Amino acid sequence: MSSGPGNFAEAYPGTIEGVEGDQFGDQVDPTFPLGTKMSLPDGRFYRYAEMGGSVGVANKLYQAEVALAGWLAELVSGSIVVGDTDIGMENSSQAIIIDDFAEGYAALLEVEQTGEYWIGQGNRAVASGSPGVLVDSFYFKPGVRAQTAVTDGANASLNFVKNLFMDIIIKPASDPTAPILGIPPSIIAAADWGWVQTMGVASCVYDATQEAALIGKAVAPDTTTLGAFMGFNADIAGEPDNGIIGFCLYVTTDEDFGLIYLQLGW
Amino acid sequence: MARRYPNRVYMDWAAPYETSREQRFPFGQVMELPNGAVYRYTRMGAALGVPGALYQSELPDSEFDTLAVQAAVAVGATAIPFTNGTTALTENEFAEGTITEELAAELGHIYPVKSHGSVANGATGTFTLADGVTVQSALTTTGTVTILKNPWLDVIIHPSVATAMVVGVPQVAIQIAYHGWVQTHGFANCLDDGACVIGKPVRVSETVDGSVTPMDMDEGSAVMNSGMVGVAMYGVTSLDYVGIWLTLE
Repeated sequence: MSSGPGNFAEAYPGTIEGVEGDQFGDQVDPTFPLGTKMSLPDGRFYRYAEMGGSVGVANKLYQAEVALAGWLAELVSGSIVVGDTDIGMENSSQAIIIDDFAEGYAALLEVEQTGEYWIGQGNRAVASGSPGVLVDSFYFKPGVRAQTAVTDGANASLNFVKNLFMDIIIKPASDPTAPILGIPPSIIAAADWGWVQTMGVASCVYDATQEAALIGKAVAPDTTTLGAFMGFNADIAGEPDNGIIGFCLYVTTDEDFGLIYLQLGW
Repeated sequence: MARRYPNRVYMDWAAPYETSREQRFPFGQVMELPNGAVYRYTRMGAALGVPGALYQSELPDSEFDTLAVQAAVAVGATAIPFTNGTTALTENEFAEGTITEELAAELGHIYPVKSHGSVANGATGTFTLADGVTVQSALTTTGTVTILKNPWLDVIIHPSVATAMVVGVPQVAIQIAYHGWVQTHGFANCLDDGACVIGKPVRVSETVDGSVTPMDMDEGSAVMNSGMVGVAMYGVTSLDYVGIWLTLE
């Protein structure tokens, strides 16, 4: 298995206790496992993320990469036996590269199964085909074993999903198209690694042309401006479905940076 | 549980799959995996556990609400006596649960319960408070208390509509009255009864037991009031399992 985010031999604590300043900067090679949580003394929280293919912009809302349709509802490749520590992958239209699913997930789809899912230690490459197939190609985390048997065939499909914090992208100039993850406090170069804030006081670009943000009121992902937040208005059809990302601390002018108290649940 | 556990235990990847007949942690013990996924220690109720289903607390018995304080209790006391309702208690049924002062004048303090004996219908029961906990404001015989089992004790699959607090999603089938972990935070595969949309909130389903469904803020309050339980990680249209990011805590 090649080097990558899934190959940290050491056991890291669930949450790293950082000090002020640790949240800044970016790294060419990962310093922590993908998704590592960090807390600062004042209660702010961050998650360790890998930037996608575009240079990251500081203090704007970022979201997960959209789950690729070519990795959803893929037939199980080879029956799964109780005790298995890896499974095969079948891939109808979307190539899989090495460790795409390190720290990611493989989840059984059909209600006829048990809903079991596994966290990936890593995976082998599978070229897209009709279908592309490779047995023993998705490896579970150490100590994890399949709990129930699954017979290769009908009603035996898997959803493969990257770790939320892999290849993150800026919230588009529209409704979010994937879960909103947080706000990077620094510029993170494309494919580099750094911290994304998920909790606490944060600076974020504001769109004043949509729903006005009011101090003390809930805020939501903006629906027209790249990486921006706006006020949350439960009376507007459709908009509230994007959820609340926090509360407004300071309102600014359009396209400047306001202050919000992030309350993302990551 | 006599031993003192850390407030949060950090365990490795195989932990969510472990079940046991004997209790190994306090109920509700928080456990975190290396990737930040969070679980709570639980005991399954009277039906075999269903992996990937949303579970709730046992429905609180209304007979345990507004129970008369049986004798005055001074500040600093370590036990509270009350007159039971019409549902008998078995020994330590409410251990690791709570007893709450109800009256506004008594400031609504809530105390963790360490132990108690069996209490017959209408009899006097005495709850001993957890070690180190003492009564904060005096109670008189005009006062009332509410007792509540630990939310993670004897959990049940949430019915449609949920009737108690949602407590998490088990990853394995926990046998009846066995102990194990239910997930409360992080990626989980959960039964789904609607066309979840990637990145959008999901809530408790009101039509399929143990399921989630998309949260549409334009729906009526009757279903919206159940609250959000997570965010969909991808979209599904069939009534199968969907990956969600649980945000129960």
